[in-house]
Amino acid sequence: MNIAYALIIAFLLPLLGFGILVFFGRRIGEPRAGYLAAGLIIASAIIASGSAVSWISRGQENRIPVSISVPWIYVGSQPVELGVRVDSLTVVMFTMVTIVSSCIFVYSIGYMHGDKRFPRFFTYLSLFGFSMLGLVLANSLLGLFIFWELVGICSYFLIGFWFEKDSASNAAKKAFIVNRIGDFLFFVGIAIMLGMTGGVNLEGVFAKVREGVFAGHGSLLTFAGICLFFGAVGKSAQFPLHVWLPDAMEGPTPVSALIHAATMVAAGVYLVGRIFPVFTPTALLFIAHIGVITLFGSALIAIVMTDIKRVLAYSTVSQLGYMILALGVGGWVAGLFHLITHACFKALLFLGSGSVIHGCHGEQDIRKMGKLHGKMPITSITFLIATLAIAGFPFLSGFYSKDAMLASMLAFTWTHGSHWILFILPSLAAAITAFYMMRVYLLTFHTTAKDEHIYHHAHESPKVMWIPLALLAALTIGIGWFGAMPERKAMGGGVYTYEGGRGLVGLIAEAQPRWAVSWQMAENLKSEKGEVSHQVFHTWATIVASSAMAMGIIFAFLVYSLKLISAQRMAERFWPIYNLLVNKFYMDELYRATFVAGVLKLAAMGKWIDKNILDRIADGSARWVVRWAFFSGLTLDNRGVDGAVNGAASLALAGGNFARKGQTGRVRNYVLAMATVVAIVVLVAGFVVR
Amino acid sequence: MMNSTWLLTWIIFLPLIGMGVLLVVPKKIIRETALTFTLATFILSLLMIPHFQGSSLQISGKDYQDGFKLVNVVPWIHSSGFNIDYRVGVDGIGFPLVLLTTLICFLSCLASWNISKGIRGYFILFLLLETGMIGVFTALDFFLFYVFWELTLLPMYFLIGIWGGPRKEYAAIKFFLYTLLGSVLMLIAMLWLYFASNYNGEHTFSFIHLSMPGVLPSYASHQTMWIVCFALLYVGFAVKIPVFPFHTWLPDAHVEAPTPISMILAGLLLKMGGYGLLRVSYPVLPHAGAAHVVAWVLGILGVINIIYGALCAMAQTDFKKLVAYSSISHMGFVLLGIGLLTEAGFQGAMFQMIAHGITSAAMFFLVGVIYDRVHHRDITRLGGLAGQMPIYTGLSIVGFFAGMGLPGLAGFIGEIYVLLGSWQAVVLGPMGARVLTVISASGMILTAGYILWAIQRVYLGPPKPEYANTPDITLREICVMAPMAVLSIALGVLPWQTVFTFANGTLVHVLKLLPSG
Repeated sequence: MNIAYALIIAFLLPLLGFGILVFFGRRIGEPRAGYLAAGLIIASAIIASGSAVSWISRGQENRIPVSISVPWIYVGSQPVELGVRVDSLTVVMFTMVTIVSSCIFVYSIGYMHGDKRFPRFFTYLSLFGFSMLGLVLANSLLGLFIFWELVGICSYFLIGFWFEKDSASNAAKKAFIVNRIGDFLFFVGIAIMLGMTGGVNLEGVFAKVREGVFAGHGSLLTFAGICLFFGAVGKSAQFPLHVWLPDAMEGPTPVSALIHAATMVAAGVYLVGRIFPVFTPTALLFIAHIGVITLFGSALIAIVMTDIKRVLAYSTVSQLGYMILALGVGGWVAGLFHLITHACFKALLFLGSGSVIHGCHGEQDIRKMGKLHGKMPITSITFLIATLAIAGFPFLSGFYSKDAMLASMLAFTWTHGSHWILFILPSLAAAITAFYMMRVYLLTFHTTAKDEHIYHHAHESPKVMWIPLALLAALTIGIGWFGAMPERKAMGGGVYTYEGGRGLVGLIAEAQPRWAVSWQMAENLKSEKGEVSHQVFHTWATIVASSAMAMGIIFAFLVYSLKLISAQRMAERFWPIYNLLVNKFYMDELYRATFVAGVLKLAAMGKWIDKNILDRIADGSARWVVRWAFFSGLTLDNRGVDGAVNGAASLALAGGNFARKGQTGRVRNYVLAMATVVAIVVLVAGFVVR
Repeated sequence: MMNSTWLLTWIIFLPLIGMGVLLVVPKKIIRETALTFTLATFILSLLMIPHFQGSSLQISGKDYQDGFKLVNVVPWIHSSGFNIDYRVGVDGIGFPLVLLTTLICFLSCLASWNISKGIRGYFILFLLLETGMIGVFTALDFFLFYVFWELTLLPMYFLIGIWGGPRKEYAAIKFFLYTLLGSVLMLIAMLWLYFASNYNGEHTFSFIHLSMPGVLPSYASHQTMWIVCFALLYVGFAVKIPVFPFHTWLPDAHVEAPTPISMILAGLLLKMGGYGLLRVSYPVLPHAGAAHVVAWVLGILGVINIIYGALCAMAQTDFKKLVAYSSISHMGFVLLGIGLLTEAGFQGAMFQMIAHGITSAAMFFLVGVIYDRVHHRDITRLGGLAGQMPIYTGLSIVGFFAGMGLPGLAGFIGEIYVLLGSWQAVVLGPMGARVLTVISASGMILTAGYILWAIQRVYLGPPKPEYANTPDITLREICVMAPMAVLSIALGVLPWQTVFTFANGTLVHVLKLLPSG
């Protein structure tokens, strides 16, 4: 119970920072606004770490998930509560988010130095931290959705932080709208769940699904699962909604680190993990295939990108694809484990790239860099550590998590032979990952300096920036140690239990759903090929992953260090592929030509209909009534009474006048028309009433 | 001084007294006088709050008919076969709207400070308009309702037609005729219902009596009358909401109306339509409202409003017109929520009316602020204001995001309630309701699209030299905007405490009047 309150306090601290900074930010000024925001998030991190320590030390049997809710609203007569749920996964995520965020906040004090909106930056960062922590704690679908949207809006502010640049404001808008597409489906999923189960509380929804409220509506459950998953597709930048993420590089680099490591993109994977029990086998297969498309496609694009941040962006998309795929094939623990390790080394990579950009005075093109190792050794070493970790170098954190993921994929394909692609492509992508990451490292920090000007002026970043780098590097190295996957035992009836996990992995595994619509891993373990020990998969996964990594790194050395193969020549020889990749498979162009253009065309059509059809009908009928009134009022009367010819002339005149001025309207005429209408209506009314 | 029987009457007619006072006060203090009276009305309306404290039963009574509070009945016209009473009262539907009216009137009076032409006439009409609107939200006698309904028409016509922009005559007459068309049809329905009714042997105009079963001839035998009356009333209210295809008066009226009048128009006048549906159409003609064809028509029109309004908003280059079309889109949720007859939908529609009353007024005010400074509203020519007017931009972000339906702000709650409700609607069968819900939910994307695009074109981008010396928002303007910003947040975070606790019981009662199944 106490741990939940501790985490709630830790969660509210950034909100406090936001509240103070939004009103007094400018008065507080630089750098105190940064100290305030960073201080509060560090306080959160300390509270979270303390909670985590107490949580770990209390022994497995005492680590019972805690839920606290307060009543909020009734949708119809269905109560909706706001609350938090704390289990091992929450604790791990919360701690990770606060620690990584702390590093990024501190780093930002240095990076944003001298920016004219320095306090504003920390205002947004604080709100971002608050939203993300809320998302981690939320115990209901609606709570998730609320913080989900808040995270989205914070990313909008931060990506568009330098809003004077058109590219930045475009990227911000794009990020939010693309995310909204996912959110729209996420919301539909929530509506289905509320409609079928009568609640949005996660535990309640799971219980109802388990009781079988969807019995006979299996495809609806699949549909709901896919809708909910689409929320994650948007946030975690999966195909086909991945297009916003590379553009989001327009934000300041610490923002990229925050978005790509600890917060926003992590949210999608976290969501999939959280609502895992509602996914049907079909939905999971869908998830797996989305994951594999994403991870392979973006890895290919990453090879040809030349902007240091864009390479990292595509590598993020690719790594997220791994996680989604792992979750889709039932590797729940592996996927979330990779989420944690990835948060550390990707934050490190981004902050490292920020340090490089800072040192090179804003240059982001890796083709213009080189030999920076001597100029900025700390950045270089930490960047190398992160590069090796993401490539899966043995005994670094990425090695363990990637190994676990590949093992789960192998286990899945072992029995579901027709889905062999779910293991082959990730293995290939592992080699590609090692290659493009090594490429970035070599081009940036070694090989010859191509732009003398940049080289001469490059410098190491200040202490406030490299200390976070060092801390993250330590985490990148050590976070995967002392862990062991637990053994799963089937209890029958779709229920499972876990034994023997250790360390971080064991802790995550404790939160693993003990029940699911379908547990694909378990099915495939006792297949027609007989029981296979999970250890075998791990062994093979290790062999595959390590050889892929080695191949990738060696190839990168051959191309960029030893120059035995010319990248230029390769690009020329395979120019169709190269063009396809440089243009990111033309996805942006495709969307622009279809969806964006389509919506704009529809919008223009709506405007046209209003102006040329509806208004014309309205104006036309008004004009017609007035003309009719003139006819009856002037022609008939005058002729009848006076028999004068003048009447006809004046009618022609008046009618002509009116036809010209009908639009601007003569009040007198309209009132006349109106009176006629009223008279008719009263007559009709009298008739009807009688 | 006054006992609570007359409280509502005081609230209704205090602006009218102010109008009389305005006739005689010296020109120098006209604004202050008008502001004093709107403020006094607002404070007076706050005195209603204690009557709506307590349990749900205490707030909304056992049935729809006994949920009315502060009822004041005075015999009015009882001759030549007419039984017309001055009968006012509020329940959970009317009460929040009266509070909204007095608040928005006060704020838009404050926003009227820089009106310079004919201020005496302006404020006189302004106060007359306020009386009319409060009257509409409190009248419990159909005839009285109709009188107040028409009473809002005239001042609005002149306020647009005299104090408006370049095409003010056209806009004013268009507004007038459209509304008149609706109210004439409403008049027919009113008389028809009156002469058909039989309450203790007499005809009645009272909404309370009309909503009792047996007062009107039964639906089974007089199906045509029910459906036709419902349709006539519907057109009257649909023009106000406004519902496609009766909506084209709205963008014109808004574009030409002065800022404070736009605030009132969007914030309050449109609510009269939704209120009419909840107060008149459904309680008086429940069986017609529950007919499949009615539910389908209203549901589909609601969806058209949401999507079509959003699309049209996206195509506009006039900032004010964009906001006007966003109102059409947002009011579509009101129609959808009411039309599909679910509890959540009713709640959502009611909440959306309040929330939209605040956010749309805020958005129109924000557009007005920039118009006052740069004297045009062409989005394509604006840009980069965030750097030059930071406080204004910050407030704008709150206002527009509240309209966009961002969680934690007012617009969100109404939308999700309506959508969650319509998903579960049974009246259209499972597939129909779900299809409508999914289509309208996709409006979320369009809304984000046009709002963010507008924000980008107005506030973001490189600063433009021609706006370099544009002064930031003034203290008076902050005083107008701040309450709306605060309320946007309050409604978004505490929807139950701010709205639902008052409205929920009554809405449930209205729903109970409808035949089930």
